[in-house]
Amino acid sequence: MAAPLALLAVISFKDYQPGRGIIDEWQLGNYTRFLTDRFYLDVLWSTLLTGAGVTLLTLALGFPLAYALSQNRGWKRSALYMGILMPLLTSAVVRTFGWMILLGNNGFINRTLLQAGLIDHPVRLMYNLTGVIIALTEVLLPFMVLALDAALLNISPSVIEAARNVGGRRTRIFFRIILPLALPGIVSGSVLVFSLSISAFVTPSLIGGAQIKLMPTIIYQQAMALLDWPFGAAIAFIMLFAIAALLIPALALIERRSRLA
Amino acid sequence: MHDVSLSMLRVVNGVILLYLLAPIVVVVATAFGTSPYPVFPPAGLTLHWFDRFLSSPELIQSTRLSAALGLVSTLCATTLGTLAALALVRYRFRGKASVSVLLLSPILFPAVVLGLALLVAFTRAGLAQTFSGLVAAHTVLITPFVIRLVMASLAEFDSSIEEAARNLGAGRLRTFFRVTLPIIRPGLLAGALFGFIISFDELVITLFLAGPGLQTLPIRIFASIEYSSDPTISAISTCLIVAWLLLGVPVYMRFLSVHRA
Amino acid sequence: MRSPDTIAELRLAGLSKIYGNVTAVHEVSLDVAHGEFVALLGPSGCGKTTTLRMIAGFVPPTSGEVFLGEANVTQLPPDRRNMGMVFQNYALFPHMTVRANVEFGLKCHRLQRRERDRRIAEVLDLVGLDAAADRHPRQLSGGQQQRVALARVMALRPRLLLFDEPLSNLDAKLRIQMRDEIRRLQRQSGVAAVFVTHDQEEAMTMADRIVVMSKGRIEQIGTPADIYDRPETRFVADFIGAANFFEGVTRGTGPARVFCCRSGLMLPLPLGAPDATTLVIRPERIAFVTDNAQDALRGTVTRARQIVAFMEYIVTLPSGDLVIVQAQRRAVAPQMSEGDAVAIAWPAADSILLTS
Repeated sequence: MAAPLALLAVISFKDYQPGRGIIDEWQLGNYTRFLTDRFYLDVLWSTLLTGAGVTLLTLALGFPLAYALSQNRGWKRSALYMGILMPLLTSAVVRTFGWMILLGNNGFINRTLLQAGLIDHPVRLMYNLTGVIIALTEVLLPFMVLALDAALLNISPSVIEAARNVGGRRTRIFFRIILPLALPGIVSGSVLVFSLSISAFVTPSLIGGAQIKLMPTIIYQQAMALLDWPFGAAIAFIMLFAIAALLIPALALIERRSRLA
Repeated sequence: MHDVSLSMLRVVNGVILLYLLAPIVVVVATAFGTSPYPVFPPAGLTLHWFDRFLSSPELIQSTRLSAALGLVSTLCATTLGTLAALALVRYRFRGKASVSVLLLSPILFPAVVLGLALLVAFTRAGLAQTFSGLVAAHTVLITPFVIRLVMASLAEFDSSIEEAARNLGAGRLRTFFRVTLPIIRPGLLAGALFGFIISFDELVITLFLAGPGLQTLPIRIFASIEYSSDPTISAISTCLIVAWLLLGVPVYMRFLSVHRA
Repeated sequence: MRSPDTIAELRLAGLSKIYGNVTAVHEVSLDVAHGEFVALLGPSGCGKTTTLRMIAGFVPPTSGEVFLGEANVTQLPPDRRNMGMVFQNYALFPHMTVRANVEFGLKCHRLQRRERDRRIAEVLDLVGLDAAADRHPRQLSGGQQQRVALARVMALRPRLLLFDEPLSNLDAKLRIQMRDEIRRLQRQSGVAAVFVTHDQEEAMTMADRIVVMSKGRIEQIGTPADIYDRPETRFVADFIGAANFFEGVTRGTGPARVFCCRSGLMLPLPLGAPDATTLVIRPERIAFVTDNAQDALRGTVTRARQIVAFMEYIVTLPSGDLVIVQAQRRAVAPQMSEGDAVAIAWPAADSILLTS
């Protein structure tokens, strides 16, 4: 597996000319092209923004679910677990298709809101970042829940009991005890969801359509439609770099915390 | 816990779960609708779209291709993965930590990058747009799951059981097939099943590596969503959802129960 | 020409195992006679389990050889050595019934159906588990699992039985019960056995001979009485039972020979005693005597404790030495208590002399 990646890295430094194929010369042109063009920088920004948005949303929505999951045992937990796991058994394509049906101007959501009189005209939920974020959050939510659940399970209930015993109220216990102890899960879940959302291809291309340009779709375009493999490779590595830039400090944080524990 | 906040949590979680399962429900529902494009809630009830799915030669061919690809890849991955898991758990060798990281990494790696890298590498090797190339790619993707799940089964496996078998007169092969294999079977089956599902549903990497005549079912679904929204897609998706649920849930429950026992 | 009676059932010749720069086992040589029960005894890390695993073939020795009878089995894999091993946690096959567990080895050795059935019935009856033949290991108690493990190896009629601390996972009462059971079955079958344990009581009650090991080396081989009454090294004297140690030198000749302790104390020696640097005396050999008895040592009781059936006292002598004395609980009258002035003595012949 390492070999193809190394090969890709090498290619990213080469130049491609349509009609002539890949020129066997080392050069940084691909990288500079990406990083200096306004258009591509916008793409980078949109991608990172989407990633951040999805991560925050999954965190907000995932925590209540994970909390309930970690508090239950026996069949209740298994049932809940199954419910959260089931979407993972369904491919992203299928789920995204479902969202397309829901988010369209004539889709279920808009029609319901119109009928309820809450809006005057349909809210644009398809072919923009909003729709992408809504759908992507749902697709990646199970991952966050599982990561949080693992961390929450690690919190021994006697710690909570000890806090109640010395007089702690629920909100204080939540913010001062549960949240900090769940931090490793929050970090690992966030890193996971962030990297998955940045590199998501299916959902953004289907829901975003031609208007939304995010890095994965650009990579695909460059490689398959324009046959400019080296440029695609360069973009891919910039994306990897963005993920690594987040992953490494996050992992170091977890490492340090687990050593303290 | 306080009753009020407990029921509030329940309500919140109910809404979140609804959000999580919404697209799946929508897709399944629209598969039965009578209108020519997917509408939720569906207008009438019909099995027409399933009929269209099952009588379309291209779709059936794609299904066959995906199944064959899945089977072969799963076979390779299960064999490789089991051997790797055994080696990782049993033996101490230098660089073990890095090897295990390498072997388990494809799970989280951005599919687009992997797809491009494999495209570049496979084209060099003449494997692009071939069945064997797809098998190779899918195997690489699935093997980490098999390794993880088999390792979980192995963790509770006492090596002295194998020693006892040797002591009683069983050679290495007999010990493996009569003693080791039956005990790790739950993990192995779970890994194989999930491997198959992942391979069958795989889209992104396959997009890079497929060619004419090698259109897997996910690729066809993806292409047809881009061009039109047809409830046939809902029908196909519903079949997949039901199939994976019927297969996935029992195997996973068996695996979980053996695990916890 | 050796007659069959003098060829050992098991012979270990200079077995060693070195891991990197750690010597787990150093030059272990041992003969086990036909039908003999030998215990490998020592603290954890002393190399007894490694030695057993080298005998069984799970660990290749760094040097040395293993002989089963006349045959050199050092290069043979574990499945061809004709030795039956009982593991610490029984290692039963969880996915097979008791019957299938016992049948497994018989199938491996290609016995015919009828013979297999016969042996299974025989051996399950021997260990008293014929009623449980169709149960799975997880449905059995620890003691029952232990017996299945035994039955499994005995069905094969091996030339040698190996036990890797099989009783350590059982509770005290069951342990004693199984001790007798294992010994009985071994005697009945007449098969030689090597039994690894860290429990001295187990070794002392079960074994014909004990091999005491420490830090990879054999300290002493002998019968339980030999080991206890005539320990050859300080380790053995200390490890088995309790002991009082006095460091010093032997001085003088003839009947005036005495042992001069470093503390200044003078202790009597038996006639013809060799030179020694350590004098050892077991607590139960020491008696409370009257002040003017021969060789009496005066001192004060500084601790008195009841250990179940007997009393343990610590007597402090003017020389500073602390002596542990073990005495029966007196049937009538109060026991000795702290602060009492006493005199103790022991027969000189009971002193154990060591030069280490």
